[in-house]
Amino acid sequence: MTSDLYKLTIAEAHARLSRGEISSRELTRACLDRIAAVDSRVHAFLSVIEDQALAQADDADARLRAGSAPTLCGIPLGIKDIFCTRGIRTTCASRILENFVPPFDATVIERLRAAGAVFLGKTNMDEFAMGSSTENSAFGPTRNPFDLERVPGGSSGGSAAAVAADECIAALGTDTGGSIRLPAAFCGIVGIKPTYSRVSRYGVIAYASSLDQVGPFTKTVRDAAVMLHALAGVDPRDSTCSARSAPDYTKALTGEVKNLRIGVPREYFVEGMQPEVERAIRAALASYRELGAETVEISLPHTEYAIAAYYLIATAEASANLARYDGVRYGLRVDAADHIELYNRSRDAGFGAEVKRRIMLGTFALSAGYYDAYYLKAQKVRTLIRRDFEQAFEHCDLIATPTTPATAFKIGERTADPLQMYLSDIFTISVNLAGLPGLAMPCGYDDRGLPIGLQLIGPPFGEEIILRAGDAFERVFTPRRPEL
Amino acid sequence: MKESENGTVARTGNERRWKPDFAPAACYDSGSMSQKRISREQVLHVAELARIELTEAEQRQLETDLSNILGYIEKLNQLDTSAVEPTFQVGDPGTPWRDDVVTNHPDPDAMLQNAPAREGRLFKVPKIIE
Repeated sequence: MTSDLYKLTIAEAHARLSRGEISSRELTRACLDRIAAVDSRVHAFLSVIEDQALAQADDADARLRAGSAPTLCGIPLGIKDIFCTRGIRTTCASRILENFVPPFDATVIERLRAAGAVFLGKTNMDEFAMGSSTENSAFGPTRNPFDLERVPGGSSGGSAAAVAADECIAALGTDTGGSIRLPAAFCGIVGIKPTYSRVSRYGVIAYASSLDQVGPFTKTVRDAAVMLHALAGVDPRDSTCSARSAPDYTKALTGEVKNLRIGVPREYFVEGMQPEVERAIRAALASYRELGAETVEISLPHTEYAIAAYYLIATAEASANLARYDGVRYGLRVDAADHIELYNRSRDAGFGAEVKRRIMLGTFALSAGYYDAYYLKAQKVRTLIRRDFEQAFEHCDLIATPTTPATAFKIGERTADPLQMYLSDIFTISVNLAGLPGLAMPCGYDDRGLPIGLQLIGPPFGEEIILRAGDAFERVFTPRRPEL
Repeated sequence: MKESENGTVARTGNERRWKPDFAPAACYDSGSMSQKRISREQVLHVAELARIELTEAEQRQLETDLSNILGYIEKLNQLDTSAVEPTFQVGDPGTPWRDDVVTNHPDPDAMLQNAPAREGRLFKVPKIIE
């Protein structure tokens, strides 16, 4: 007998689990069956760990029977393959880590285990989180559940597609330039990138360390608040992690937005953007006014320089972070007569084209004679972008923008020109450069039925305000589910 | 400036809508060698620094791609940043302290389980010193 329990949200599943109406084993079984039914078409998962998932579900059921289990106890999740999971292969969608089995758990994985969550498997992504479409995976692209000919966005495309296709109840991702918010928008679900330093990155395979953040994909804003509460907090093993304790984000979900000032940056309505996207965002702003919020026009004048600054800073940091893949201690090795040849050949065979391109660009930007002109210049422009937001938040409580200028594009459409691919992140990248929290959620559909994403940006550690505003909008907007 | 009731932003008329300048013709001309901002020699030098062996086809592709990307990045020079301090770090990083105690007990077998080649409790590599 097939069950449609996989359709549940975290809140709904938790209510039924804690009342004993369903078991985590039934819920986990329903998700595993759903994966078996649809993932050959979606390809959201790189690995499914059925036996371990069912064992975790049984442990969760024992805790649930004992009473007062955490909200995530027994909830089946998808985990982006960038998180180190003890004893579970972790590839970062790269040939160079194809057979890597971490001997330890990332801090966020430890926290989810402690909360009793169930891990269904590891989800697909752009190799080393470098990409906007999940087409850069060494193991083949993921497809958008709303239209299998289109990309799910990237880099956390597998996690986003898995949630949208109801293959898991929620999922874990990372966001360096938009890698949670872009796929959440393209797949019509909720994704939040917290403030830089809000969530520990210990055990998360590093891409660009001054930008990377961890966050959840969920079906509702309330679920995002539940997940973030479980993930956020102090971690002595990550020296960049904030010492502030994390609040219970669900308490912020009052439904009340009266007198909230929502800033609307004029630079985020660019020439050439898809008209349906602008219409949907304007309609969402009108809904907020009906709910009693105020919308004010603001300016973020350095927006158009964000992508150029990002592609120097992120690649420079990546070139340093990825120096560790040398074929010596772990990962792919191509044997050679001497150690330099061993490094060179292992890295050529192990890295895909986009990863090589970014390592090369970053190495160039840091190399003698170019550091000031490129890397330092980009860090100064980063200051200007950060100040734009600081000044804007003197006039508003949060900022609302489109998440992307257009809805999901077709597989293969942008792979020939790296610059065209980078354009996809034009509205998300500034938020990483400034270290701010950003929430993406569905707010409409284009003429083809593809989801349109609203982005809500908060001041530093302003997760509660964007979750509150997102939840209030969700009460007046009903998202669609894809037909699969 | 407030948004009007019907949801459209009141405009003064002289505001410009910037157009993301990604159209290939707008930011570079990939057909012209005079537009090359990075030479084959530079590609090979950077590849040596990055310890990546590149095939002839990869070298050619990277010469074009990096030139195009660097051409786009030149737009940063439109901004005068002579009086601006760089931002290397954002967020709320402190300097966390912890007790000086061992938390990860030595387990060579666990640490060596992913080694591409090992001998006993050691990583095996090609001979470095003659």
